[in-house]
Formats: sequence, C-alpha cells, structure tokens
Amino acid sequence: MRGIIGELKAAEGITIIDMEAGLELFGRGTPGASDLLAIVIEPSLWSIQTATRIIDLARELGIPKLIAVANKIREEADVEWIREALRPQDVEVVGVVPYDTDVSLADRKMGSLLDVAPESAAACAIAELAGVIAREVGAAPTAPEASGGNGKAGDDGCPWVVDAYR
Amino acid sequence: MQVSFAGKGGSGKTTISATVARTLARRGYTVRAIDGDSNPNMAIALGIPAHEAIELAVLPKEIARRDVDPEGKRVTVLLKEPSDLFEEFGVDAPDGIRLLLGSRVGHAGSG
Repeated sequence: MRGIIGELKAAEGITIIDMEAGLELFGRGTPGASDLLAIVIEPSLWSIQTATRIIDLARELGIPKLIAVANKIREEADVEWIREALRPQDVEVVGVVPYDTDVSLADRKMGSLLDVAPESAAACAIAELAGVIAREVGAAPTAPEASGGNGKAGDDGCPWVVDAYR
Repeated sequence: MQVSFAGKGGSGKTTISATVARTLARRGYTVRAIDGDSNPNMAIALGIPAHEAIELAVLPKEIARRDVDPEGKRVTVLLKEPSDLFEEFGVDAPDGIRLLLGSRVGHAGSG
C-alpha cells in the first residue's frame, strides 16, 4: 500500500518527492509508483550501506529506473568508492555534487541554494543532474525555457571545489 | 512522471531534490514537489521564506480512503485528482512550483 504520498502522481509534469530519510517509506511501498528513484550517497560507509539496502527495496517495489547521486564529494577517490560499491547491484552514479561550503551557507540562511549561491559549484552540478533526470524519465517541458534564470547547461562543465577532480 | 529522492539522513536529499525541482521549473517543466519529511525542510530548500514554511497547511486525511483491490491487496484511493489536490492544498514555491506537505497527512479513513 503506497499511502497518500505515493499516489500523488499527476498526469503531466514532474512530481518530485523528497522522501523521509531511511528505509521506512520503502517498507510502506510509498515510492512504488515512481518512474525514477535517485539515491543520494555521501562518501561514508553508512551512507553506502543504506544505499545498497534502498536499492534492494526499490527493486522489490519495481521502480523502473534507479540512479545514484554522489554528494559532498571532495576527491575522485570518493566517487570511485561509491561507484564500486554499487556495481554489484548495477546502479550507476549519474550525478556528482562536490562538497561545497555554499550549501552550508544556504542552510544557515535558511534559503534555496539557487537564491543564496546560484553560481556555486554545487548548484551547477545539481543543474546538470536535473537535465540527466529529465532525460531519464523522458519528460518534456510544458513551456519554453524562460530567458535568464539558472537553467543553463553549459558545455564547459561545472567548477569544482577541489580542482583536482575533473 | 514521478521522481523520488532517497538516502540516509543528512546525505543532502533535500537540498538536491529541491534544487533539481527549481532547475527543471526554470527550464519550463511543470514541477510539483512533495515533502515526505515531518519538518518543512523542503519548503525552505525550495526558497519559501522560513516564517512562511512553518505555517504551511497540512493535507487533510479526508482526501483519501483505504480500500482493497481486485486481488485483495490494500490500496489507498485518492478522492480527488493529484493535480486538484496540489491546487487545493499545496503552497506556492518559487519558479511556479507547487508544494504539498505529504508527511503531515493523517491516516486515510477506512473505506
């Protein structure tokens, strides 16, 4: 039984659910109607262990697409660690978000990252991820992109907090 | 389409899911957001002012009922279309996003 949250799937557009942390909602079947599940993982053993359990539960629910997002990344080795940990379950890391003190700044200011630090490395990386997600679910915009704003998807990539990671 | 974000607490789900939502909205997608956590963190991460975020309305339990499907499985049946529920009980976030606080829903009444 998916509960009310899981049933809130509008016919058009993209509905984004920020699930409660952990595994409980999977036990209730809440994300069962989702077209894609994005699993956010930090470079820590506990985060990876939680992710591997989430993947099993998500597969049981039949969610068709699972992607991983590596977050708070300081060096390439962090990403490789996460990629390797998920390889046995065949889930790909499609987004890499660097460790960025601007995220903490947005938290302290209790505001959106895009409003507080729109040019930050994290905002850029998440914007790239947004494009990947839209492509993965095959969604199309309802309206043409408005000029301005931070919808840019530059070909020169995003700046990284740690320059060594490319 | 429905996209869910999951992860261990503190992993950054809320910042990432909210920023993805804002980005897609700016690119012309119709975006709705659901906060599945009991604190109004997604509202703030979407850019709703904090003093408004703590006042956000809850989703009344009467919008759904429990039932049993033909195979005998328990299901939750919404009594209105999702888009109508967002319209009626959601709140406006920047870039035209409509947000529902899903975590404060009461249990659905028995059918």
